[in-house]
Formats: sequence, C-alpha cells, structure tokens
Amino acid sequence: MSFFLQYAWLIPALPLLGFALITFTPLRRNKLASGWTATGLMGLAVVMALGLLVGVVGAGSTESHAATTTTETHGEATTETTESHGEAATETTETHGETTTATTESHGEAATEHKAAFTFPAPVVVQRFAWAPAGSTNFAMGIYVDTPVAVMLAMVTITATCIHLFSIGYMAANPRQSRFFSFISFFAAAMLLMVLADNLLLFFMAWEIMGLCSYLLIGFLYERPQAYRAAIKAFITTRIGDVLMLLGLVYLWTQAGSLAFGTAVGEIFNPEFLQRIGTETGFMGMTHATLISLLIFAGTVGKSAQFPLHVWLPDAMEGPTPVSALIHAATMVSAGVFLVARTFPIFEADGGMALQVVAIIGSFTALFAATIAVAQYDIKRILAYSTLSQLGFMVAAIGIGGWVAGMFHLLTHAFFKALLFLGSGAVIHAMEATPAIEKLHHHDEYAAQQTAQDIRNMGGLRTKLPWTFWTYTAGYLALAGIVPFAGFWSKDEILAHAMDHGHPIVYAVLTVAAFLTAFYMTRQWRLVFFGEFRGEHPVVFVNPEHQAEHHHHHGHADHHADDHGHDHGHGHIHWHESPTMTAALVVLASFAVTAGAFNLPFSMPGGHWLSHIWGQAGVGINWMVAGLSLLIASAGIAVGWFSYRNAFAKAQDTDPLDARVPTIFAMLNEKYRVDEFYNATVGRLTALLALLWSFLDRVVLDGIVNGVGHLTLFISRVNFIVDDTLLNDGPDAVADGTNAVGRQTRKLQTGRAQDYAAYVFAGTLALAMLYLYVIGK
Amino acid sequence: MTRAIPLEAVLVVAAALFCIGLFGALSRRNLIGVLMGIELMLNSANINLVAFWRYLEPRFITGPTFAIFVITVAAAEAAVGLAMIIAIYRSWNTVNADSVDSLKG
Amino acid sequence: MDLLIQIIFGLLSALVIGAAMMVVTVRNVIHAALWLIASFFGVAALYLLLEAEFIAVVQVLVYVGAISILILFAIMLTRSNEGDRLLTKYWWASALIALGLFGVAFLPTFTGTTWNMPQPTGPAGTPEVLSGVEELGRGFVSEFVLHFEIAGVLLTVALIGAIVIAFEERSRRRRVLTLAEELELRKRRQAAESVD
Repeated sequence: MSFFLQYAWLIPALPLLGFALITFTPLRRNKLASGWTATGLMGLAVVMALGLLVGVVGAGSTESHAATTTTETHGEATTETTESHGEAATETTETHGETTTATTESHGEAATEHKAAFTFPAPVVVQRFAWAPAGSTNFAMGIYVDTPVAVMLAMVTITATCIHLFSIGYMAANPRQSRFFSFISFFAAAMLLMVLADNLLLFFMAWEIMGLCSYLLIGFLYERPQAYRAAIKAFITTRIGDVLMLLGLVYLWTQAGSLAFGTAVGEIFNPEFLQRIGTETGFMGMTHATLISLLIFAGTVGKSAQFPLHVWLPDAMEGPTPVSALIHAATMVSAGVFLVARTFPIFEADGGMALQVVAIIGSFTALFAATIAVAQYDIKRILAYSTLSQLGFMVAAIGIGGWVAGMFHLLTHAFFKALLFLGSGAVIHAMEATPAIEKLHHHDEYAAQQTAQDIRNMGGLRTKLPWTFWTYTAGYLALAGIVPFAGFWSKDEILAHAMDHGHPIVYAVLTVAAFLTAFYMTRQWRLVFFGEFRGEHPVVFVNPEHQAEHHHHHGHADHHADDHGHDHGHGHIHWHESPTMTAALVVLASFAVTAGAFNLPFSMPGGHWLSHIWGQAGVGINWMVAGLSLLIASAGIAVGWFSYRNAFAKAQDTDPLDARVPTIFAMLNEKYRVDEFYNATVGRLTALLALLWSFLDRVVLDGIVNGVGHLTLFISRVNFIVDDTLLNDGPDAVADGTNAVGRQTRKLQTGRAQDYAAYVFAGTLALAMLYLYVIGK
Repeated sequence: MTRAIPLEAVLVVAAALFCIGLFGALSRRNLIGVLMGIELMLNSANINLVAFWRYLEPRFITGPTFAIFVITVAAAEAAVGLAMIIAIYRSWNTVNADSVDSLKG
Repeated sequence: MDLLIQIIFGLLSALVIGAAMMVVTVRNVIHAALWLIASFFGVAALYLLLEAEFIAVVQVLVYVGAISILILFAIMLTRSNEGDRLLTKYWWASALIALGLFGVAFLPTFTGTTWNMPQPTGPAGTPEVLSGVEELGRGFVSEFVLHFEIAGVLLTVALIGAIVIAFEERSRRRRVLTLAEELELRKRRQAAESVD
C-alpha cells in the first residue's frame, strides 16, 4: 500500500496528463483515441484512488501498526521528494501515534468545556514543498490526505470515469469531441487537486480552474447564443462568491499567517488559534471566526449554487449532458459543500452563529429549489433544480453540525445524480433520433434539442430504452428516498441528525422538501417512461433567437411532423442505446443501489463505516424519523403517480397541476422570477451609478455650457427612475430597467484601454487616500 | 551608498519614475508611447525591489532574483506588446490608442 | 566620500527622471525612444550604486540592448504621419491621477521620516551582502527553481505568441507554400501580367 500512499499526487496528475496528451499531441485529430485516452487515464486514477483509500483506511484502523507503517512510508516519501526537489523540499509528517494522542487530548479538553469540538482524523500522507520563498518567509504547497479526502477521491474518480465512458458514446456525433475530452480531463485534474490540496490557497487555485473549465464546457456548443450566455452568466455569478471567498482567505491569512490544513501551531485548525478567533471581535460586533466563515461560505453559495446565487446552475444545463452530470451534479457543485466540510472547525469556532446562517441558507435552498422543480418540463432542468435542492440538504446538514451526514449525502448524491443525468442524456440522445425532431433539426438545431428535452414529448420509453429505464429507476428511487437505495440512508441520516440535535425547523423544512422530491421525480419518471410515446406530435420549442425567421418555418415543421406521424407511425423510429453509455449507467446504478451500505446506521460489523473511518461518532437509526421519511417518500410517489396517471394523452395537454392552480404553477414555472428580479434591482443600481457618472462626465468634463439643460435632463431622468421604481413595479419595469442599464452603462465603456486603466488607477488613488487619511488615522 | 543616501530617497525616485510612466501610459496617444510608459513603470518597480533588498534584507538573494524575473516579464511583455501593435497597425492602419475602441459598449 | 555619492545619486536621479519626463512629453516617437534608452542607462547606474552589479548588467543587456531595439523597430514598421495631438483628450485627468499617486506616496514619506540620517548597515556580525552571480545561480536552481521554470515557459509562450500575432498575414493565407509552389505561383502571376 505504501506505493499508493507515496504517489497520491499521481491521482490528479493522470487526468492532467490526459489533458496534455489530447491538447498538445496529434491525438487530438482522432476523436475516438482521445476519448479512450482520457477514459483510460481516469480509470488508472480510479485504481490509484482505491489503493489510496485502502491504504489510508488501513493506516487508520490498525492503530498500533499504523504508526510504524506510515512512518516507513513517510521515510520513503521524504527521500523521494528530497531527491527530486533538492533543498527546497520540506516534509512535514506527523506520525500517527503523536496525532492520535493529540486528538484524544483535545477531545478531553473540549468535552469539559461545552460540547465536543469537531476534529478531523489524523492525516496519513502530507507532502509539501516550498512554493514561493521570499526572504525568511516561505509558503508550502503540497498534498494532504486523510480519510475524508481519500473517500472523496474515490468518489470523484469513479463518477468521472463513468462519465468519460458515457461521453464516448454521447459525443460521438460531435466534431469537437477531442476538445471536449481535453476540457473534461482538465476539469477532473483540477477537482482532484482541490480535494488533495493541503492549504486553502491551492484549494482556491484548483477551485478557480474548475470554474474556468465549467465556463468552457457550458459554452461548449458556442454556436448557440443561449450556450455562451449561460457560460458567461455562470462565470460571473460564481465570481461574486469567489471574490468574497478570496477576501475570506486573505482575512484568515492575516489572522493565522498560514492557510495550511492541520492542527499544529501556525496551521489553521490549531485549537488555540480557533479559540482566539472565536472570541476576538473583528468588525460590527462579529468575531473573526464568524466573518471568515461567512466570507468563505460565500464561495460555497456561488459554487454550490445556494439561494441568492443559484441562478446560474439551471442555465448551465446548456452544456452537453455529460458536463451537467460531472460538473453540475456530481463534483464541482459539491465542491462548495466540501469547502465548508474542509474548513468546518473555523465555522464551528464562533459557537454556532456562522453555522446557523449555513443551515438557514441550505434548508431554504432545499425547499425553494424543490418547489421550482415541480413545474418544469425540461428533463435536465428538473434534475438541475433537484441538484440545487439536494445541495441544500448537504449544506443544511453541515450547518446543523451533521458533518458526516452531509458528506455521506454528498457521496451518495454524486453517484445517483450523475446516474440520473446520464440517463437523461441517453433519453435525449434517443429522442433526437426521432423523426419529428430530426426534421426540426434541419433548420433549428437549438429548438430541436430543447424539444428533445421536453418531458411532454416523451412517454412510453420504458420498453424502448430498457437499460436506461432500469438504471434510471434505480437513480430515481435513490433520489426519492426509498429504503434499500443509497439516497434513503444518507437523507435519513441528515433528518435523524436534525431531529436528534434539536433542529425541528430544519427537520420540518427538509421533510417537506423530501416529499416534493419524491413527487417531482415521480412526475418526471412517469411522463418519460410510461404511457404512450407522444413524440410524433411534439410541443415544439420556439427559439426566441430566430423568432422572426422561425415564424416562417414553424407551421412548416409541424406540418412535416404530422405527415411523418401518419405515414410511418412509431414502428420506424430507431431506438438505440450505445454500449459505452449503457456500461456507464450500469456501474453508476450499482452504486446508486448500494452506496448506502457505506454508512448504515446500525451497530453491526460494517455499520457506521464512514463515521468510523472519519473518526466521528455514528448517528444511530431513529426509527420514527426513518419510518416517517419512508412514509413521506411513498406518499410523494403515490401522489405523483396518481396525479399524472391520466395526464398528457398528447404532448399539448395541460399539466394537471397547471389546470388546478394555474397561478402557482405559472410562478413556479417561471422560477419565482428571480432572474427578472436581479435584472430589475442590480441592473437599476448600475443604471443609477451610470447616471451619476454621465452627470459628472458632462458637467465636469465638457464644462457647464449646456449645464442647465443637462441638469434638467438629469433631474427628469432621476425622476423617471424613481417614479418607475417606486410607482410602476409592473412587469414592464423589468424591460425598462434592462434598457436603461444598457443605455447608461454604455457611456462608461468607451472601448479605449487607456480609459479603463485610468479607472483602475483612480480607484487605487482613492483606496490609498482612504487608507492614509480615513482608516489609518 | 547605504550610509550616504537614505532608503526613502531611492524610493521617492522610484515613485516619481512610476508616476511619470503611469502618465505616459495613460495619456500618450501613440501605442508605442504607451508601451514605453509601461516599461518605465516596470523599471521603477525594479528599483524598489533592489533598494529594499539592499537596505533591509541584504542577506537574502530574493530581491535581485525577483528583479530578474521582472526584467524577464518585461521582455516578454515588450515582445508581445509590440507584436500586437504591429498587428493593430496592419488591421486598423493606425497606432493611436484612442482610435482602437472596438470594445465600446 | 559620502558627499560624492550624494552628488552622484542626485545627478543620476535627475537623469532618470528628466529623461523619463522627455519620454512622455516629446512629440517625435523616435526621440522618445532615445530618451527612454537614456533613462534605462540611468537606472542601470542606480543599480550599480546600490551594489547590484549583475542586475545593472542585465538591465543594460535586456532593456538597452533588446527592448529599446525592439521598440525602435516597431516604430520603424508602424511609421505614419498622423495625429496632430500628442496626448489623449483627457490627458490632464491622467496627470492628476499620476500626481495624486505620487503625492500619496511622497507626502507621508516626506513628513514622516528623518531625512539624511545615516542608515545602519544592519546588525553587527551579519554576513556579507549577497549579490554575486554565484548566489543568484544557486538560487535559480534550488529555492526559485519553480519560478525559473515558469519564467522559461513564459518566455517561450511570449516568443510563440509574438510570432503568431505579428505574422497574422501569413496565417490568413491558407497554408505556407513550399518553395516550388511559390515559384509556380510567381510564374503564373508573371504570365497573367504579360497577358495584360
């Protein structure tokens, strides 16, 4: 096992090698070869990650032996790194024996105070090298492996390999397949590096690379305006969180003088340090720990798409489906949760205030997103909102202190949600081959794809895509929370933790969200796989991009579709399931069925396995909670099944919910109009600022020759804005707001690089003066 | 040197050089002039690096090392910058910074 | 001796700053480039005064020897008699910003420091000043090996980038022609001309 421990850094290096090979060698000309190279290297990474997991768990479980084995490993590793890096290499190793005693000591101390403080299991492999020596200070970078990291690595590599394999079949028709594999390998490398990082700076760097890859892959089909707009939206929305997170890291650095994980003196989880920042007041009456945690949590809110910044994730579904599965369901979005889990002692240090915010945001998102998912028609968007909701579950779990429960749900969710996305990909792939949509494809590719994703146009696919149906069903039952499947155990652990630790409101909110989850998933499953196939006469998506042109074609397309239906019927539709796609689905489905076994809530051999290897107390089964949540999941499924039993005889029918409560359904269908709200508020603020600027521009720069006239104009415009904002809040205000933003902000954008540089330096000057004469005094 | 000249004097010279370079970079119309301003700014940063090293941390080699890296970056920047200016000249037939405004919103 | 050094420093500072002023204000770009070379020389001399001999040599080699020549070539290649104005429309705004920044840096220094006090050369018993090429070289292959490699990559990227950007016209052509094809093309063109 020492090989796997010593060469843990190979895990991110393998996909990185794949990226380099595909990008820089002639391999990129061969679509198939590039796909198999990426998949093969990911497969090797799985072997490495599983070996590492076994090694790390072995080192943790055999207490007395572990000390010697790991020290041996470290000895080898030391010589290895010293050889390769020369003098620069420094090696921080903690023998297991030492850290174990340290852990028990701190446990003892904490227990006497209030409640047991959270401690990470001791790291098994720590390899660091000097990164940027400057004079007498230096910053060490490296890898840090403990049991949660090892488990995460195994999860990420397995899902990534399945998704790579699936992509070979799914992307076969795309001419830029090599580029796709190059990006996705690069993404996998960044994700694995982030998990392995030994300090928050390296973590942040990998985090940003993931953001870049996400941007590139959402905009992969860049011919479509919707795709590149979604890519830009995702990039900018997550950037808001990332900037705040970077501020948090800077703040943490000023307090700790280090960003390295670990409990030694000078590292960020040092108990005395945590004690200090948890008690000292920083700003506005909040402690340092609260401020740092909230700033770091802003990064999570952006990356894991929690409530105020959730708007990017549903739009990110414009990317190819494997991207949605890997980045926007299994790995990158859960990186936000992992961030909170990784810095949990800091969140905990202030006595619960930061965690309360985390719990509130998480449980709110869980419910909020679940309600939206009820009223969507796009198969991928339903899953996207479901992902938001499930991420809310994880965040809430960590917020109420259920660290193990949150991480456990992260793992199971990654498997079954990746499975569901890939299943939906297989469905879409098959739908795109149906005649009505192929017809549409000829003149509007985007509309064809959107039409293919509409669950109203599906139906009866159970017999046509049997492999997809059965695997999808496994994922569906896991997500809905039915008993032997993975999702039940992890979701139930969160609920049990909420109940046992006195968070009844969180429990209630999450239970309602769980009911809705079962309901909307049943709705989707029922509409996709049961009933009659409705795709001969689909609801055609109207593409706003070529509406004028489309109008002309529209009737035409319908006409053709009609013809086709009459002439051929569905006997001629060629339903196809690609073998690589099926293989990936089967692997993921097996995990969706069995992943719950990693942390069964029973005191039996193998029970509480994750809690055990993570060194945490296991949450025992709460029969009442378990029974209730099973009941609720069944109720959700039953309500969903019976509501949609006779719905949608043909695709153009009205949704039963829409028929019963049209206003609520419309509101949910429009996602509570959050996007429009942002356009109206944030947009307006920008407009006001731009107005101020244009005022300065005119009065100060061009003199006051026309001053009076401009002033009147300015006042009337302010009047207009105020009038419009305060008095006329109708839907048309949205359009006006966006327009005003456009018109006003244009004046700032002169397009000359020198002007932009001048703004930057004017800002520098203002900051310097602020510092010298206001804050510094 | 370190006895005769206070550190602050060197820093003031560097600051003056930086601000002159900044002025050049922000207000010269000729793109090559802008690039020259940027070179002056980089030079002033280098003076700072060397001065701080010499006065405060003469026992570590970090200062001169980073000065050399800055020179490297400046060389790379000059090469790419001038290539871009030539490309701009070819497609816009001008080297005036304020004529190149295709970023305009 | 101290006075001599102070005089030299004063002259050098005047050269550096004066030349820099000329760079940003002189109308003819070639003259600006020549003033820039003077300023670079002044900075190199400042490095000598600061006992950083190697940096001074590198400064002369890279800035004076390479960058200035590059700039002169660029001026030559983009020669055009255009523009009646030397500075942009709002040049005084940038002047204000630059002056403001200088003031922000200068005023606290001016008021908060005791000028012309002899500075100690460091605590007693400190080892010799490190500035030799040997120490630098050692640093590059041990402590700063990563930076060194990155700088190498950066230079390669810049080289390729500069070529790609500047040779745009050739890339607009479908592909690079072989010598034979080039001759063929020339022959055809001549034939076409002779027909005209």
